[in-house]
Amino acid sequence: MTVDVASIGQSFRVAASELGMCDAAWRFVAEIDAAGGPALVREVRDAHGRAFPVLDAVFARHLAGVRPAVDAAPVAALCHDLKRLVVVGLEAWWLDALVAALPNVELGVLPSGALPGDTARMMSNLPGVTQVGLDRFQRFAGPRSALLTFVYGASGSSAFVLPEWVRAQGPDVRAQFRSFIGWNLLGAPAEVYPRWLIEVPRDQFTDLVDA
Amino acid sequence: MNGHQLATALVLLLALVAQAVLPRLRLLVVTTAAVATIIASSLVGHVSAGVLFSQVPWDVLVIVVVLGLFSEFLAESRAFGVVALWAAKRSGARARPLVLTFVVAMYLVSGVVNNLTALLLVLPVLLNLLKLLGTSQRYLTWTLGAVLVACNLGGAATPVGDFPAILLLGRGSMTFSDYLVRAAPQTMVALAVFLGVVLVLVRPEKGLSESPLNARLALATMSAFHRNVRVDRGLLVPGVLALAGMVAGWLVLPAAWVGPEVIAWAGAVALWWARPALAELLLRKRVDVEAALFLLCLFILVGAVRAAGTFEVAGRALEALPMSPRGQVVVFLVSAAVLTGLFSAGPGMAALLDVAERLAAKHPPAAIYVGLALSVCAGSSLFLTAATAGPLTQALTERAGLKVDGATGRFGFFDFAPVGVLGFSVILAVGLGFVMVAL
Repeated sequence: MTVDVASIGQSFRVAASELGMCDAAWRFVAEIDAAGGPALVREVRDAHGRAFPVLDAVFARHLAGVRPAVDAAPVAALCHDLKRLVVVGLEAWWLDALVAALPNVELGVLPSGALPGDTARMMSNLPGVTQVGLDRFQRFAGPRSALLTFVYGASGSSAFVLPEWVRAQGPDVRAQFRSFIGWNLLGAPAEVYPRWLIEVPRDQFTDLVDA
Repeated sequence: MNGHQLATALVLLLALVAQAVLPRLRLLVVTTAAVATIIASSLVGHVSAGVLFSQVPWDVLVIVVVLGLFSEFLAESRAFGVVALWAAKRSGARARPLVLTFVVAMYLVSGVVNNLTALLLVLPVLLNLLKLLGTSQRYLTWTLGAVLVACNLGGAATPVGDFPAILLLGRGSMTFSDYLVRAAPQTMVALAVFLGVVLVLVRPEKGLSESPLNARLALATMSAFHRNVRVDRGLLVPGVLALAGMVAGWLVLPAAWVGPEVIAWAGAVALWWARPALAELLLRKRVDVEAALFLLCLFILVGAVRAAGTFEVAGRALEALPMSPRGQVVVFLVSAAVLTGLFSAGPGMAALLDVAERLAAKHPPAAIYVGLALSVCAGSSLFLTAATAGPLTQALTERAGLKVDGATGRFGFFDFAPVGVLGFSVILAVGLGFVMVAL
């Protein structure tokens, strides 16, 4: 089979812009494995892993036999008495599950600006969810409100998140929300330089849940 | 030509050249030229502003605005995103079927909504697909170029697809059904010939290494992009019903009894009542008022030239050409196509229709009018700058930042030129062929 490994980087960037890097990586690794097996998965990881550390981590987990876990129940348990929840970042699989698990919570999504996609289409996949920006997300603040973000690997003291999270949970905001939840999609931190991500202290989160 | 005729024609010509050279300031250019013409005609030409405004075909402007509302309404329903996904799946994301499917899809969509809306709806999906699949500069150029030509042909296929046909309908030059039964087959033939040449002789995919893996990734990603996207039937159903009602009215009701603009207006009001708040929002914020203002200024400029009697002079000059009446029609239609290529479709059609009316008095009118619409369509496809759709495609492509062989993919004036020349030649030849048969 003809495989254009070089062009997969551009394809991944497009997919990640609307699905999230972790979601896109799991979808890509499934297709690549089906098409060319572990050898092709390794080849693509070698070619694009440094540019996309989340892809690198997901491909490594796939090669180790791990498959994506999409269970929103632990996060939903933390959010059951909330009125409003702002999700910083977008990972389609996990967000879809969260929307289904929290029918009575008003949800806002603050998409990442790192890989801009078609936000209108992104939001039309999330009926009932409001898109918010860094200028408007505090409309969701309150004693029964929370901020949640996707975590791309965490160690004993730190966690890797999207840059928007740093602003969203700044000192001026922390008093306005009840809890700050991290949803760790990757387990341990990435093996390569965490491009696109930022390292924050783990104790920024009131709760850190593994996917 | 006397001094008044020369002056008004010169202002029109200068305005057309300036708006073609400075597309970013085209509204300012035509507005300035229109107000200068009104003042000059009132002072020197003894034609008052009232006379010039009374000559503006307001019915055409009503139809333009109404169809703009319908375009936005249908776009808001997300139906076209679903159509684009269907087109991607149907083609299997393979290079040749992809060109074929998107060209046909664009032709169909632009027959219903205006060209700019059609491009804004379909092109981002196509560009995303090309990014996902990987492409070559040759494939990018011919695919986007063919889609652009199909957009122009779709616009010319129906009386509501683009301005030239709307003008014919609004001015009462042709009825809805007369135009549709003549123009649709001609544009279909032109599309088939154009696609045949592109797919069989040009072969855009030549040198492109197609990867089944990339196709799988592209389809999986596109499906995920639309995983929960549902067509908003609350918008689509009233939109389609109102549009169908309008088409039925245009087909059945005599124009002398209820004009096409009244039917369009009534259709818009019906749609408005179906979703009052949304329709009001779309009309205020999204409907392209610029197009109506641009056309209004052009009509004033053309009206001044008409009032000066210049079109009669041009018509007589055409009739005086030492050739057969058929030859005169050919000269007119070829000139119309070239002038449209230089000055764009709106100005071209608005200025040329008066001359066409003289020819229509001596030949079968429908053949002349549809021939003119096809010539304008050919001219619109000649250069990237000949219709607003071209620069929009260029801008969307640049914004997409598509990587091609390590560089950024281009879709500029010179990239489009070979596609444009082919599209121009095919459409003009087909149009002339049908006219010759009809004469």
